[in-house]
Amino acid sequence: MTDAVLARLRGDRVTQVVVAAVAAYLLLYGVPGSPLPDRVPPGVVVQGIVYGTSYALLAMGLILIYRTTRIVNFAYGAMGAMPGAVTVGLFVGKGVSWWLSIVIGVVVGALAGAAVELLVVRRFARSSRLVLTVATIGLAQVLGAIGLVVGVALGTDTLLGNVDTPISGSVFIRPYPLRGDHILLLAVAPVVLAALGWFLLRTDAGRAVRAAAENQDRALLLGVPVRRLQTLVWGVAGGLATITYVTRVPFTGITPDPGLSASTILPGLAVAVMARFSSLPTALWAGIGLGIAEWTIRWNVTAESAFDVTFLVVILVALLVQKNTTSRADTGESSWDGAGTLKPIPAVLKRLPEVRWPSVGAAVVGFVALVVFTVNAAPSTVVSMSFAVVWMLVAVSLVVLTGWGGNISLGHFGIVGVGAMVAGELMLKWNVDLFLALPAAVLVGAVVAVLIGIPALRIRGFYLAVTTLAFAVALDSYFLNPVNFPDYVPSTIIRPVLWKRFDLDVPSTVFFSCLGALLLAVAVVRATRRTRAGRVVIGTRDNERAAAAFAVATTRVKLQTFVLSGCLAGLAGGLYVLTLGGAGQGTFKPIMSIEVFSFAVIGGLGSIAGAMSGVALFRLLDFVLAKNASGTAATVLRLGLTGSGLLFVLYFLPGGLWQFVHRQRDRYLRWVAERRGLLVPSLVADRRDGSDDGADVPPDETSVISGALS
Amino acid sequence: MAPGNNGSAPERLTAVDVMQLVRRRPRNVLLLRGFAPLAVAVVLYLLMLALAPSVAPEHIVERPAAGGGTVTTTTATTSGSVAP
Repeated sequence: MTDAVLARLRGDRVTQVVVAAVAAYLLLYGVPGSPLPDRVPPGVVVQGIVYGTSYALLAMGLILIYRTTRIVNFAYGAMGAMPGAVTVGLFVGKGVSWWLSIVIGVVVGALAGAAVELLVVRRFARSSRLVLTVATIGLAQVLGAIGLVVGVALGTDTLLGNVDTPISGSVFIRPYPLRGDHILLLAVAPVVLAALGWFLLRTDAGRAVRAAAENQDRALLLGVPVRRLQTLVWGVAGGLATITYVTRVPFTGITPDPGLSASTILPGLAVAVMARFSSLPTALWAGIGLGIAEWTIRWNVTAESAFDVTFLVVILVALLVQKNTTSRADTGESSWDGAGTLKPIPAVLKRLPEVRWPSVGAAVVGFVALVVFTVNAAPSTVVSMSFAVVWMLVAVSLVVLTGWGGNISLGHFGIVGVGAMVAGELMLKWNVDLFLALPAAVLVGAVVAVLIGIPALRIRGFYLAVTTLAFAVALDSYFLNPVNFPDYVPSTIIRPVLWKRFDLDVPSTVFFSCLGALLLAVAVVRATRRTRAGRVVIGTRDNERAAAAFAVATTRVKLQTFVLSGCLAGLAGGLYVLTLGGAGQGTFKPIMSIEVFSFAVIGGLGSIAGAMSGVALFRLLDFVLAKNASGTAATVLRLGLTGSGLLFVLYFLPGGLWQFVHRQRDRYLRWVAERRGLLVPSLVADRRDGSDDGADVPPDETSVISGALS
Repeated sequence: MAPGNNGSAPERLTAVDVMQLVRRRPRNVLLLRGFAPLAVAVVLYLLMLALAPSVAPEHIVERPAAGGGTVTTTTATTSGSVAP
């Protein structure tokens, strides 16, 4: 048996590369004059292996879920952090033994994972994989809120930094100490790998899980208890996420960033991309390699957070070298839920005075009210309103990318940040006209979209979400860090005077400028949607293979959509720096991208007005929370409301809250059509076919249709 | 059958009439191959940049001088250039 294993390892390419790398390091280390003792000392390699192993563990959990459910589980970090808070709370807060705390935490994690499957994942069994992926973002926020509450209950909410455990003793390997906690992690990873491999490859349950992942309906027909197996897998994933968290937390420390912590999950995503979301052993080696690369950079590069760029580069390179190979199981990935598509007012009704005047009147009254309120509001309120308008612009760009194109960006504020940097620098250093600086920001947004989109969009899947998230993290921590680029971060700008007349230091002037830009952007987006290009984007989203059969270059179409979205995000960046009066590290946090995405989904990504109203609603909520709550309470409320709102909307109102408004609008339109005796088939068909209130079609309206048909 | 003008009785169309209707060229006159609105917008944009620039008022820009701890001070004018 040993010979068979050795023979197999000899034939394995990854093993050959690893053995060659280790041999090369050992040989070169002893060569006189070698830079390795200084540049890559043993302690750096060991730390890299330790951290890389933890990344590999994260990736294994992500791969396990991907292989069974075909989604990227963005809640994976939170699934470990919440039970991990129980472990740390019991150990630090209640004095329970570390080992017992770990066991309790893992059990809680497994139960939480199973509960997540039962309560959330199963509800979306018939939804597209994209919708379920977005649901995991909401789930992450809900679990983050629960984790915070657990922390408060167990008295660990104020704890930050490392946790000393009974095995925290260390030996020194130049230049870092190696703790007992490090060794525990190194021991756990191979065991987990072996256990997962055994489960998936050797057990009947594992084989059934893999079969169900390929074709759920067929597996059900063959008598596989798919639902029960899914619960089992999510339970295993919950336990694994907890093991990963509790073996890391003694030396990585308790992270203050709950919910979907980008910095927590990003290394795992990078490793999972390298392993193509399929191979567990590759994930282990890739994780270790990434860890060593990260610690070598930490040791040799003085620039702050340079390793965050490593993750981005690794993801981009890993995507570029991958081939676009998809299995039949991947086909349902990239379609946004068609049920959420909101229809315009039928042409036959649009010109009627009782349809036109209420909408015109509402727009005029709303605009006048907005002007009056802005003129009389406190300057701080007007500044908040300006930010809300800029966020709405980002939401419009997400409508283009996700609502139309069916692709997710979890780092849109990264592109906003680049736009802000460019516009801010042009205005600050070169005193460039505002109307040249903003187009420059738009152009740069487009360029960034091309650079990110080319590797990420050529392969089907959720790679754009992963790549943009990595970009947002790298931009915030590295590129916008004044320590790294003191000459290129516009910390404070001098605001221009608009047309030599309107001083943009006045908050209301900034607000109306932002509002004007938003209206212009909305007009452009609406016009684009009516063109052939707009229709092709929708067609590609709904059925990529059919679009390709009609000679549509689908990758190019997706890239064009991302570029248009990037242009709008760049414009938002220019307006953001104008509103804030500068930009820097922390201005464009990665969590903001996730928040704006969540807000837009809750409002309704199927329509521009829906996405904007979602953002407006939550910015208003933020404003109220900032005045009435603070600290942990505000964070819990925010995370809980956003996360649960996202899940609620995805399940009950796939078109967002705006879908509800549309239902009322359609009700009114039906009344108008009935009064006028007009036949509007689309309205009636919606009622009879839709799930909202289809049962109560009035008899006279039905008779109109039947009369027309006869 | 096609409806007649002013609600009069519908007039009968021949196949030739239909083909003429289909082949009728649009009456829109396109200047610059339809890019005239874009050209006008560009001209207006350039006029706006030239006649009513939106630049910051005159201010001092400080940059670290090369190779030393001192700073160089330049004045950014409203004309868009940075005066030494």
